[in-house]
Amino acid sequence: MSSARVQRLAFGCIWAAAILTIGVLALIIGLIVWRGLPSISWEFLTGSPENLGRDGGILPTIIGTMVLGLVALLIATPLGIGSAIYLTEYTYESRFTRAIRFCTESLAGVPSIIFGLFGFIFFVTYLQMGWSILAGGLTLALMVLPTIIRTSEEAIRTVPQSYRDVSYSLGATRWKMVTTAVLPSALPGIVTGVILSFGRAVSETAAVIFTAGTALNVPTSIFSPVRTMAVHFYILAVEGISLEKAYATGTVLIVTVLLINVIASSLITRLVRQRVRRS
Amino acid sequence: MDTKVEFDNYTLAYGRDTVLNNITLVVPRNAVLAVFGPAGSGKSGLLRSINRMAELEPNERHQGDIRMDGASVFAAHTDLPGLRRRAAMVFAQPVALPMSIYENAIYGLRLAGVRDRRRLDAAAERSLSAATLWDEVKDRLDASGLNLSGGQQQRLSIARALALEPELLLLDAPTAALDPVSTGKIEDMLIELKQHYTIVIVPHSIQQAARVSDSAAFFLHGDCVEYAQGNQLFVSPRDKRTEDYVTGRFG
Repeated sequence: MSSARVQRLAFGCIWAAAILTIGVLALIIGLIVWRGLPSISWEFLTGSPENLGRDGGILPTIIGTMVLGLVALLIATPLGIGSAIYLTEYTYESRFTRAIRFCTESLAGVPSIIFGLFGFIFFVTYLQMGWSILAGGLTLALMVLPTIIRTSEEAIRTVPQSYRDVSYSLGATRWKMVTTAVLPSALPGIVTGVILSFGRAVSETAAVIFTAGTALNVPTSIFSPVRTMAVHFYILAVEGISLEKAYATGTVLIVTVLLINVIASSLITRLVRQRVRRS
Repeated sequence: MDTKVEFDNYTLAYGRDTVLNNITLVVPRNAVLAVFGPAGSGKSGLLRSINRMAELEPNERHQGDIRMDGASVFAAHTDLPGLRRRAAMVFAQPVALPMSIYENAIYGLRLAGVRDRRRLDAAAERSLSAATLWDEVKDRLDASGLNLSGGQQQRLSIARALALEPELLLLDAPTAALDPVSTGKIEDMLIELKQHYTIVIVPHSIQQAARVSDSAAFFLHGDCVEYAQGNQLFVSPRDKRTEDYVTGRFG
């Protein structure tokens, strides 16, 4: 085959792969939204569920999803960024750091239902938290921790070594160097990782059912059980309560995740542009 | 001749690589010492030893002593950040930190905990003027330092060092990445600065060494081969190796 033809064939395959990917995404979102949109109304978004969810709205689940995601982030973010700083700035590559990294990567590969079972055994039962936002948040924090560590590490590593040299040479201690020369530059990358993790935490089902429970009330404290949109969708569909409401919940969930991603990327572009333009 | 820094049988090694071999050398006060030689001779190591940046390398070992104003820089309770503020360093690559020109200039002072706005403003103007950058940036101090040209960023780096009012300036090939015009500006600046500062410079060419230095030392493979006042090293070196390098027989 002539090289020009090979070129065209390759381009065609790549183009087809891209179209397929976009198409699959569009299909998934389209199907759910098409079946779910008719059931969405202002009452749906602000009302409480009635008849186990057959009627009424999903406000408690919206609140539950957001609160759970937030708690998970509040726990995982400082832990994750701290670990990343330790691995990159306070240690040289050694057997110890490789062991830490291996554990982190392994943690990332653990199935979510195993996290759920662990959370149930340890947080819910042994530590007697019961089905609660706290138990769910802790479990989700463990799930997203590897992602935050990995993306923070990457972000920190891309900061030029010259920044560190300059900082030290002007009399910075290691901590001042990290906080004034490294972290500000690594911030966009770190924020990306955190937002990504929020999206993941918000979509989790298996880990959440076993730790945050399935109660439909609006949560009153960190020890209240809570139901997220993903769990609500699952229960409505599997228990045959209401397929339309299930699709509607799914639609709200998808829109929420998309909204988070859009806000996140615009925030990040603004952070990057600010940095390049002025102090 | 007054001594600012002296090396006393100083040896530096990173792991198994010996960078500096038993160096005994004197840096005269308020003058420019040029340390020159081929790549890998230990010139940067020499500079980084004075402000103890060398110990940031993994597996760094050293022997012997370095004394600034008579006191060892390796003394047990030395204030390391303080030492580095007294011996400010400028690197070969121009580096503008991702902040405004003003923030770049006073970065070192902020690190030292200075918060008084008037003092910071005064320091910024003083150091940017000394670095011959003030007129070019005085109307846009809030603009990002990243938007400056290479020559301007290097002068900004020098201003950053000067803002700390150090006693010693350690310049590691400061004009290596710059065009001849910027290089000329910086060389003129150095001639002004040496009235108040002791300067050790790794020149990026022998000609630059001859232009700016009051004394010079030739380094080869970690050894200080020869040291002399004025232009003697370039005009009539005593060691054959120095002569070969200066005349371009190797390099």
